[in-house]
This record gives sequence, C-alpha cells and structure tokens, in this order.
Amino acid sequence: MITAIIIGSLAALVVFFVIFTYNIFVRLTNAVDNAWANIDVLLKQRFDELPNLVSTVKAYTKHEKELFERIAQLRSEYVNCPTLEGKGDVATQASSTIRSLFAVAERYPELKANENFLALQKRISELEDMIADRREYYNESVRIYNTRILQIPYVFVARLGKFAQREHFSFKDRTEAVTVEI
Amino acid sequence: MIGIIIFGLLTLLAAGFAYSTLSKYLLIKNTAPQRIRSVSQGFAQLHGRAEPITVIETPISRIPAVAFRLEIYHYVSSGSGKDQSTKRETIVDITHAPRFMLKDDTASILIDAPREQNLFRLLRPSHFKEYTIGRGGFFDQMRNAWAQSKGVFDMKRLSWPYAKALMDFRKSGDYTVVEDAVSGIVSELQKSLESFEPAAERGRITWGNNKLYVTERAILPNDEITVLGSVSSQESAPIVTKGKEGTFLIGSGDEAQVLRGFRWPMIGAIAFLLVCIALLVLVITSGGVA
Repeated sequence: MITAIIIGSLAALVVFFVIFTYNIFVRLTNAVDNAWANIDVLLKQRFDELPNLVSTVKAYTKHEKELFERIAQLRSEYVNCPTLEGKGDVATQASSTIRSLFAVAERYPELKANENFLALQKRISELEDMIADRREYYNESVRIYNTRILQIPYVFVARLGKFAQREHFSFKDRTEAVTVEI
Repeated sequence: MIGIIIFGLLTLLAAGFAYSTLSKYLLIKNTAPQRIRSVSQGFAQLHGRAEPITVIETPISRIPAVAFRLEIYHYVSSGSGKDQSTKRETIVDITHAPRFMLKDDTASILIDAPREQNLFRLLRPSHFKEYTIGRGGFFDQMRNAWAQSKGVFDMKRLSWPYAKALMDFRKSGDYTVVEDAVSGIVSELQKSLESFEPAAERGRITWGNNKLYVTERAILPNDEITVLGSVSSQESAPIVTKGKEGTFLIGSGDEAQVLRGFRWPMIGAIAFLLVCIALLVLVITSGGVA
C-alpha cells in the first residue's frame, strides 16, 4: 500500500513537471512568434513608406532609375521570402538602399528642404529605430527559449514535445549590397 | 483517515502556492525586457524611472511620492499559559498608487497599477520607514499613562472611520474618501512621535503594554523600477495595466534585482511544500503501520 502511494506520488510529480514545463515552452514559443510578428509588421510598414519616398525623390531627380527599381524589387522579395534568414538579408539590403536614397537627396538642396521628404525621412528613421529595438527583443526572446530547451531537466520535455531551436534575426553587414552611382 | 484528508488538502494548498510563486518567478525570468518606444501590445517587461503625473505625499514622512503603502498593526494576545496565542491585527493597510509614467532613455509610458496591497511585495523601495511604538522605561510608561488618560492616542476610536472609508476606497479607487481617516490616524500618530522624539529611523514610544508597528514604503519620483504588465492602447496612448494576463508586478531596480526579491518567497513556498509532503507521508505511513 505504502509503496503504491509513493510510486503514485512520484508519478504525479513527474506528470506535474511535464505539464508545467510544456506550458513554459508554449509560452516561450508564443513570445518568440509574437516578437517576430512585431518586427515583421514594422518592416512591412517601412516598405509601405518607400513608394511615397521614391515618388517624392523622383520629382527632383531624373537619373536614379536603378535605385528606384531596386527598392520596388526588394519590397516584393521581402513579401515572397519564406525564411527568416532571407528576410533578414532583404531587410539589410533595404536599409542600405534607403541610406543611398538619403545620400542622393544630399545633392539636391530643394529636395532636402521639401517638407514631405523631411517628414518621410523622419518617419523612416523612427521605424528603423523601432525595428532595431524589436530585433533586440526578438533575439533576447530567442536566446531565452534556446537556453531553456537545452537546460536539464527541461531538455527531456523539449525533446518529447519536439521543441526545436529557433534562429536569431540578424542584419548582415552588407554595405556592398547596393552599388549606386551618385 | 481524517489526518490524511487534512494533510492532503494542506499539501494541495502548499503545492498551489509553490506553483503560483514559481510561475511568477519564471514569468519574469522568461520575459525579455523591451524598450518603451517600441513596446508591443501584450505582456511586457519594462524598465525605467518612475515619474508622477500627480505628486502625492507620504502620510508619515510627508515627502513627495509616486505611490506609497502605509501599514499600522499590532499583535494581540489571547488566552493564557499553553492556550495563549498571538495574532497580528492590522489597523491600517492602505496602498495609494495613482497613475504614473515610466520613462526610459527612449520614451515614456503610462502605468495604471492595480489597487492591491501586494503591489509593494517585490519592491525594496528607496523609501522605507519603520516605527515601533511600544513599552519603554518607567518614565515613558508614566508619560504614556497620562497620554492615554487624556485620550491623545486612541487607536480604536480612530481606526473605525478608516475601516469604513477603506471599503469605499476599494470600490471607487478615489483616495480622497479615505484620506481624511488616514490623516486623522497619522496626525495623532505624529503627535506621539513628536512628543517622544523618536530616533532617526526607528522611534521607541511607550503606549500601554502594546507595541504598535508603523511602516511606510514609497516609490519616489525618479526611482528606478521594473514593471511587468499588459500593454494595451485602450486610451489612445499605450498603457500598462494588469490586463487579461492577470499579472502585474513592480520591482525595484532591474530584472536581476526583482528576481532577488523573489528568492525568499520562493524558498519559503518550496520549504512549506516539502514540510507538508513529509507530514503527509508520515501520516500515511503511520496509518499504514497501524
């Protein structure tokens, strides 16, 4: 009788531990997914602002066709890209292209003074800052998740529940991504 | 059999308490901090400095604060000999935390703390004052007897309007309904504190045979705090509330400091659970042997 109670108690403890840990992983997975969704939404917002920026810049410049086409191409590449790594790559190229576009504006004083352009520049800079913050948050969430699923004793439940490692979101330093003649 | 049921229920209770404490600890540990400027909706951990929207004053020290908790309590003994038992009796326990702003180096956000006494549970606030009003020397007692006879400090008389007002405050959240009652108690308390000249942090004031404990905790403007709560945009600007998650915590300093604040409650909860399990096993085995 006593042995049965002790075995029963231990079994109950194991079941409790598995449920408790599984719920932690579900919560962590949701946190990582939400963190990614929050970056994604900002990256899309930034791509949505780009046509407005391009049309404003176009009105003042006539020789940056290649740059304008590249921006339109990056937008569709981002939407169609299936992997996180690929999206990170496209986002890096977009940041670089936007910097090139702002550099172009330096050569046109009238464009630099244009209120619409200034407002768009401010908006995009704000979005860039927020993307950087959220990327930091996403990577920290991934770090916590990846650490937990490898820690003993959580690792056993992680394998049981098939919780796999998640990848960090990084902007590769690709200054050569876009070469624009200025 | 009755023993098994009693200890079984106690163990379940202890397990529930341990589960809740451990869940909160892991929730803090597993939630990555966010910057205020880019905070997203849902459960979030934010770190920054507290800035009052309305500056309030702490009841005892009369210093500007963002939020405070005032506790006045004493221990009451009943029975005698082996049957003697002592229990803590709270006379005043009030937390006043109007909405305030949390500011980091990127932006600021509105914080709407729930009106709960455990708001300060994790907080080791920069402002913490404790007074003990209790039995002193012969002359103190003489002086106290005189004070009592003059009705200078009659806690029971003073605490009744407070208790009544507190119920209204809990319903409405309007601190003004309870302010007069608290001020009444505090001003009487101040008289005693002043007349007996307490030491800087801890006053020793005689008053009958009972000791009266007074503690005041406060979040002061510019205090560094960590807030965990649900972010929503219900009032045009983002606001942190208890939300659907049902968890709202305020702790001093950064995440590491908050987790340190959780250490002892967690050790206590686990120790309590282990004791309950041991007792349950003992009752079961002794029953089994019999």
